[in-house]
Amino acid sequence: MNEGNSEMNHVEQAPKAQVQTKRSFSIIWVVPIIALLIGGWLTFKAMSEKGPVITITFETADGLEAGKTKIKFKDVVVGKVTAIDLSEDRSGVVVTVEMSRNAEAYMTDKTQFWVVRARVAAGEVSGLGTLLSGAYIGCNPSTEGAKSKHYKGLEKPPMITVGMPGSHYMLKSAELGSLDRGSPVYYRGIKVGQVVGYGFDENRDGVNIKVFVHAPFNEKVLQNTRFWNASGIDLTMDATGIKMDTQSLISIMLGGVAFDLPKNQPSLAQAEKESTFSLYTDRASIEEKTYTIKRYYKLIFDQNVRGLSPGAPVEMKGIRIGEVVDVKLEINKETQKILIPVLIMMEPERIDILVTAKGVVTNARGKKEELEETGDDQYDMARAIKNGLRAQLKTGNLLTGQLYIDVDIYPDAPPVKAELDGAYPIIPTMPTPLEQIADSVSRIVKKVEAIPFDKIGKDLQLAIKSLTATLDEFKALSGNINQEMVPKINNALSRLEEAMDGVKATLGPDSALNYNARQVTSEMALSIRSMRSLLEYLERDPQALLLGKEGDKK
Amino acid sequence: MHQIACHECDLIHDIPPMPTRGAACCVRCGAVLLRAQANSIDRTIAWTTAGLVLYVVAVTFPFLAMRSGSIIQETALLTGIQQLYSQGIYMLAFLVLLTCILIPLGQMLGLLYIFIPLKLNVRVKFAIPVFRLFQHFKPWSMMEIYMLGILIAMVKLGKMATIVPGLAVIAFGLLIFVLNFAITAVDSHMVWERLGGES
Repeated sequence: MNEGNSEMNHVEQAPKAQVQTKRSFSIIWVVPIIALLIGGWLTFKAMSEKGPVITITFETADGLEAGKTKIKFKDVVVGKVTAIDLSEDRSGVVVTVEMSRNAEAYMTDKTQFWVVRARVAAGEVSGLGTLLSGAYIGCNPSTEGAKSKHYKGLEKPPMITVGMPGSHYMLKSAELGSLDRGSPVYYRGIKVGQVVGYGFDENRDGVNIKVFVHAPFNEKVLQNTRFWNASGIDLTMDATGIKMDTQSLISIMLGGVAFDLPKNQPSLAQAEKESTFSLYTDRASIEEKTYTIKRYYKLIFDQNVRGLSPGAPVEMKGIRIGEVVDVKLEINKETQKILIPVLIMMEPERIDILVTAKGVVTNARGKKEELEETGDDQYDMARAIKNGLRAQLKTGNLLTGQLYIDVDIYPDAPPVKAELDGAYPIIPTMPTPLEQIADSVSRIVKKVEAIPFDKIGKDLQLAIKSLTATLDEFKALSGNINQEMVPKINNALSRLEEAMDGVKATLGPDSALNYNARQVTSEMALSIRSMRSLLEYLERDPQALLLGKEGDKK
Repeated sequence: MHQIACHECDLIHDIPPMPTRGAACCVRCGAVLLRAQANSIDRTIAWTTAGLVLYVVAVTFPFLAMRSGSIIQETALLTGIQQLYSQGIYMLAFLVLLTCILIPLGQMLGLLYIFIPLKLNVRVKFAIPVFRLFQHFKPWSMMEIYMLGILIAMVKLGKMATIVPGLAVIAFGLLIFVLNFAITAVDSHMVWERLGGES
């Protein structure tokens, strides 16, 4: 009823719709406020997280990409490249970097930036990850130094990042050699650090090489530690032969630095950080400099000194006591005499001189002051020369022809007066043993020359003539023999032949003697055969001897 | 007093004056004819404002970071479209730009353009075409689909790369809901009434 009514009357009078009530939600304005608050906070955070914006100049932007390339320290992102532009003079690129907020503290001029790309060098491979991810900018933050906004990027990554335990040292050297950034630093053959940088010194006369030694090995760098260049193959050729010295295979390729204490040196205190050392050229040279007293002497040779070079050893009975300093050539214009003065340096500290003075024995070191004061150093040398001290050139190495100077005492040497040449005392020289041999050979040659070969030749000719006469006589004699003796011998031979024919007729194969002999032999063979059958029979039947043949019985 | 046809059974009803927070239902089929939205204008404006804030966050902040090994790829909403464009998929780029960026923004701006004057009882030009457009473009807002796509990608790519969702993802997800709230808060009946009544 109700339904039909409503259906019929829906045009004139529609039913009233039901009305439902719903709870109010008047706090709707909280929603945009919260949204605004969150949005505002996020924006504020983003703004406040924006760190300092800096610019870094590089030579090239290879691998860098604005908006993508990150700045990383220890692989933690600390910034992002926002723009890359060419520098004004187009010599490089200016990279604008937005650092993170906490980077503010280390935005100082000591902080370094460099581009990390894949790098295969210095015995290690680094940055391989950048092959896939693209290059990134590495940074080595430093809180020291003045604040800065503009940086010059390094083209090569520095080796050590801040915070590694160890010490830096500065090595002074005349030249860099084969060292490079990343070259290893060895202590007794174990890598304990590396070369982190190098550059000229203030005057550009030498090279300063910065090395880093990791803790705890930096404790081994003492005040009297010596560094030497252990680069590559150290091939030395001198009078002692060919010597090869290397640290490791890597150092052959990359060069390297080694350090150690010189032998017989006491250990001093540990060296300060950043201390400066000089870089010796090789291992041997760190040992040599320990002799402080040097005495110079002059030797005057008049022979060929080919193979004698500065640095050649001066030895006494095979022990090195000094070295050749200089070799010169002098020609006396008047006498046209050629002399070769050789300056040598001797280190008396290498020799333990035993001096007996009033029963007290001291060595050179103990006696040193006294010698220098009284000047009896020269007196000693003069006395030694008087006793036969002589210098000689000797061949150290037959293969290379290197010479060395041998100093020794020859008591039977002809006496020479001790002299001074300028400031240097002269040690008299003796000819080389080879030269002595040459002398004796020439003496022999002279004696040989004195032999009168002409006269000998004439005598020989006479002798040959008489020999020819003798031979002629002998020839005549043999002619006689031919004429008289030979027919007689022929006769004798033919008679002998005849006699032989007779013999042949008697004993030949067709002779009667031979026939008879054969007959006898065959008969003998028959009788021997029958004898054998008899014996065999008897052996089988011994009684036949007594009883006769069995067959006969029957 | 005016009439309304039920959208289910086409029964014409007279709409009585509605109390606030009430819903008018069809007497024949029980379908809700219209809801008298309490504070429809306020709520629409509020949700839309919140939506705009979220929208700004979603567009400006990093959206996703994909990390595989040391490769880090960080994307924002717009860079994704840029990527599509640079790869030559112009149509898709345009579609994504339209459905996920432009239309939601247009919707929100349109709502504000209509509702703020309504709130303030001010008349503005083109209110009716704007509202018509808003109604027309409603199905073209497809941020949900975009979100779905991102979720699928995160699940699928999860094995290949580490995916770090950014702030924008959260903002974008919230925006979907907030925008829906804003749209449902729109009492179109009332809007037509007021716009039409005054014109």
